[in-house]
Amino acid sequence: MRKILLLLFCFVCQLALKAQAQTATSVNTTGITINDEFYNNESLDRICKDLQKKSGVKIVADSSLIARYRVSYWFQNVKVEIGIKEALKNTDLKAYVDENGILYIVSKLQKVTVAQSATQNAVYKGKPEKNNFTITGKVVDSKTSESLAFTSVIIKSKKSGVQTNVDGLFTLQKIPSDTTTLEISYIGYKTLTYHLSPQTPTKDLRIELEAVSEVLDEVVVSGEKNEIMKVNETVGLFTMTPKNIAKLPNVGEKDIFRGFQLMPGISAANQSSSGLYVRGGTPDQNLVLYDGFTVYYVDHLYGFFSAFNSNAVKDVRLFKGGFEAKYGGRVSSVVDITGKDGNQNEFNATADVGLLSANALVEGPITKNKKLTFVVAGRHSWAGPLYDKIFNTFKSQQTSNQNGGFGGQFARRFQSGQTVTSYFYDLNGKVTYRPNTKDNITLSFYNGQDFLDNSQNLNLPFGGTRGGGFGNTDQSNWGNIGSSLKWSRQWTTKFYTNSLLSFSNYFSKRDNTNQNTFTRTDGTTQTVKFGSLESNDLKDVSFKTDFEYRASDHHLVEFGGQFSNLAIKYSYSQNDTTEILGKNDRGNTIAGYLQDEIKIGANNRFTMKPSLRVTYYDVTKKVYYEPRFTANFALTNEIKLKGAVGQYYQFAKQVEREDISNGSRSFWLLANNSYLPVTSSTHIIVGGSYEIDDYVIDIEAYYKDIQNDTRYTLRFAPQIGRGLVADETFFTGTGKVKGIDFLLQKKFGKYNGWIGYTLAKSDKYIAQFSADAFPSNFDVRHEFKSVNMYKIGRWDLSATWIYASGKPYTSITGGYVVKLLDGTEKDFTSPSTTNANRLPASHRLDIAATYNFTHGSLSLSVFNVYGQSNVWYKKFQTITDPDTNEKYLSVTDVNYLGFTPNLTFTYHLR
Amino acid sequence: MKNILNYLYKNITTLCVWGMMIGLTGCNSGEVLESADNPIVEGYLVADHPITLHIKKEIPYSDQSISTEEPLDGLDVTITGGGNTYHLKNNGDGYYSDSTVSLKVGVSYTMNFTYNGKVVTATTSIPSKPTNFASDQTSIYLTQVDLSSGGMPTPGMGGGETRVNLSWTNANSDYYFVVVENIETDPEAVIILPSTTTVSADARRFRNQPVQGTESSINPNQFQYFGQHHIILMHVNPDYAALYKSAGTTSQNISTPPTSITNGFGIFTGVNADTLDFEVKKR
Repeated sequence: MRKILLLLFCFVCQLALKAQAQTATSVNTTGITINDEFYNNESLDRICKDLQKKSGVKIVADSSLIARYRVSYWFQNVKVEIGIKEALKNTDLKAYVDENGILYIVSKLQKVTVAQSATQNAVYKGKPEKNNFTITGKVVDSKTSESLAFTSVIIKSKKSGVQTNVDGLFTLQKIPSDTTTLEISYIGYKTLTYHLSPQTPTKDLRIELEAVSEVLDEVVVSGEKNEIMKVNETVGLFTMTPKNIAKLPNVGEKDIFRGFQLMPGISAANQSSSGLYVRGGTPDQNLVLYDGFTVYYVDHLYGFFSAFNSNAVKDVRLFKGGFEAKYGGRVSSVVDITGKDGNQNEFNATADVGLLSANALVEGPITKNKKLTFVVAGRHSWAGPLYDKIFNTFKSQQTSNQNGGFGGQFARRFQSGQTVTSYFYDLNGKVTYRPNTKDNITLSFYNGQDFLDNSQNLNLPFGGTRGGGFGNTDQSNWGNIGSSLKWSRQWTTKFYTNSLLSFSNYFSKRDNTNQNTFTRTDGTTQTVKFGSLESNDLKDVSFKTDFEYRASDHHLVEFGGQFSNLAIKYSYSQNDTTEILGKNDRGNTIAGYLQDEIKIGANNRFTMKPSLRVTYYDVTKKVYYEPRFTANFALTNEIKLKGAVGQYYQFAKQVEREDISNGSRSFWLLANNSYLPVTSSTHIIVGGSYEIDDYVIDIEAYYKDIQNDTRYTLRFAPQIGRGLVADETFFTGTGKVKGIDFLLQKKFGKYNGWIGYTLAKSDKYIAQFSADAFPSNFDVRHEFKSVNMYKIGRWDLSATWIYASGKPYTSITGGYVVKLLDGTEKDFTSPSTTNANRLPASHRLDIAATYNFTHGSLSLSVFNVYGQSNVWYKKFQTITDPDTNEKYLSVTDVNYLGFTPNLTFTYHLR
Repeated sequence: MKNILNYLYKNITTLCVWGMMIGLTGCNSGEVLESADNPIVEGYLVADHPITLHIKKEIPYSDQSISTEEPLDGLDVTITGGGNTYHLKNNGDGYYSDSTVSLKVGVSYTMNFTYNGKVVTATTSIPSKPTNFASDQTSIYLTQVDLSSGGMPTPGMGGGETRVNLSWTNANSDYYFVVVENIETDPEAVIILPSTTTVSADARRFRNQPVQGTESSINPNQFQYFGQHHIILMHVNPDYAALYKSAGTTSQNISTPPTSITNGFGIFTGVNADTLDFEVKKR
């Protein structure tokens, strides 16, 4: 598989290099330079045909018209359009290039409105010609022409406007006049003030935003926004610029999910999972969409990093709760990630090298007309000291195999060392085809895998004819393969559709066994395994279509349907033969939704979005209704109030296992009618924000209840002497979460950052675990985060400090030792009341300094600067005193990562 | 307003630093202690053998003091089975026995005693004697490796021996496991270690985990001593097999194996066995 990926990568690189050779810089140009062509008194028609043939430039002109002209011109290392314009100087023809790079030759008398690509323009002094009209257009990055999704386009005078859709397209209705000023803003980009004029095209208006430069920041650009994170007016919504995440401290890899963990309401005190614990929800209750396909597991290297390469990501949005009916199948939150489409203008390449991994990205146009672009990004870990440090911190605490198969004694004496071949990699690829301004077709691919090997292998010290050996295997292998094919089309100014066919596969295998392999006298080989084998495989094939109808400037109606086929296999077996749990579930969901964004009042001060999602789940043969409602009200220009209520259902759920200490602690299963009921949740959120100049205060209070939350444990398996029955090992209960998220952000300026504080309480009730409600595993009462960034010249300095009160844990009431039949002894512990104890509070300071230069940056990051020992979990062991032979219990704290520095070097071609 | 925010922001940052200090110096144990006073029973009922039980106290966990394992003496322990009730004699150190009884296959035995006002009971029966237990070899030859002058064994030393394959009948997918034991009074080691070695002498016994199959095999390298051995095939109940499951001993993962004992922990189970003689000869 890796070889194929490598080949694919090389192939795309070659393609890209070809594309690079044929394209050039600057916007609204053909991008084609003619090195040496001399035409002496030649027919313009023939010149055009010759140039098209030789250089591939696309020229549109009336043949009969241009055939009448004869010109002389020497194209010498000049762009086609400049040469042609020069050549036409003494004629009554003119030439221009449209936004797609096509060169047009027309009569000078013809009025031409080019879809301009202005990054700034002048105020129009004349009188307006149109009133109450509509403009459609697209917002793109000025350098790469990459479309910018979820950019806000606002009529400055009305302080109201719209957001671009996922393709960067927008329709702005009821513009008061054609001399109005628009304000276009997107995080990580300079806010553009765009003055309309009667000449501004009302269709396909192309607006370019300039990315904030890290290097030339001595010049202060007014209105420049360089936020990393943006709180939205919408309830619970955060947006983030992947580009700016690089400025935050990191351990080896800049990471979107680690970035989100710095926001209030998302747990940060969890180094062993990059999954998001949003407002008491578990990572599986968080819908993660990457270019439309669902990603079921997001951890790399024991969860220290997320599976997403932030270099390949264009936009990330996180809904902490109260999300709209467009999203379904999860009860807590949504992370919607949009990958880059690839630079439309020129080939570009970026590479990062850190102490942990290497990361490369190539992107560019594939065809000359820029209709087809690609992006490929790949990451692979190094087997270096940093990798080892993290690996050794988080690897399984091997105790389970101490009573292994035959050969315990033998193993001790002749252990020939440990073979560790652990790594992770991921690969993102995307091809985008824009046949015209209306359609957009993308094919996106993702593959990421982790392979962790903590095995011990023994070579037989005695050779001879005896084959075989003894091995202690502890391998974990997990990953995702996902792909989506998307077609979106702006049918009219009011109607837009987006259809998506997607595939997603998550797999996880854990082999924690001792094995004996041997060759029999008759030549056959036999392997006997002891220990546990676990495998989980989830396949999701989905098709969905979203319709967007902008009925008026007061109504944006969205509706759509989704069909998903899920197949989930899970098997957990011990000692080769005994399958403790084996499941092979299949299920379909058919869902439809309808939502309407209604804007009311002067300047659309009141916005509400009632929505309904209806899902039929064929396993339970029931229909599930999910009504939801969100509302915003602008009390003044500065003070905004917001609220949301909603009902949520989840059909594929991850069940947390209590009986293993490491690897994948949870597994995916499909809900059913009996012991694995469909999870449901109700959200109630109210909040408000106050925004003045550089500052934003945002407060949200929330209440969330969860029904049918399931856990798996072998602890209470009551019957001896028969196999385990599934409904005796799954325990279902309820949960309640309430809390307040507080955020104070300084958005702009040399110093910016935020302070986040969360006060929360998360309870669970499972009758079999405890007679009373107990704190959930992620119940952290206080969580405080301080994120600080300072820009000084070419330096970006940052510091984050996190404080979290202690997490609950289940302690033991005692321990005991049982002597086995062979005379050996084994330790056991008996649990106390579930989560009745608290670990000490954890805190950590991380700092980073980044030096930017024209083609990249060099960044030094230090994790856990003052080396705080934050307790991950407690370990209980029975120790025998060698002198007195007395047995006593020992309790040790197992800590998270201590002081860890990292260095990252980034280089980009352009 | 901006000034207020500025003020607020700066002050909160100061507050953070204070919080950090407190966090650094603070101590938060958050420990809730519950009493642990459960009896731990170790009882293997073997066919045609007398009864022996070992009963001790669970080691209570406390972060304040260190407790050690203590035997439980003076209990009135009875075993009921086949219409008879046997009162076990306390031999001290937590050991209880009755040498008059000879346990039978197929009889359901119930243990009963009262501890701390709670009745501790458990019921088990002895599984059938393994049938058709056979080995494809009755002896093997091993070459003695002398490392007394140092060095490590190198590939090619010794060799030629094939694995000892064992088989038995198991129609009901019951649990079986094998223990190999050297029975010489003063056995001679296969590998002579240097006298200065820090490696402790090998145990005379080795074993595998309970399996539900019908065969197992022994790697000749596992024999650490020359001489007469017993290869014992034990037929065990599922609660015994459950002891071999990975048991959690961290706060992320605490579990006790399922047990048939009410109001107590440990094992009270029947075992049956068949033994083959085996010799490891010196080449």
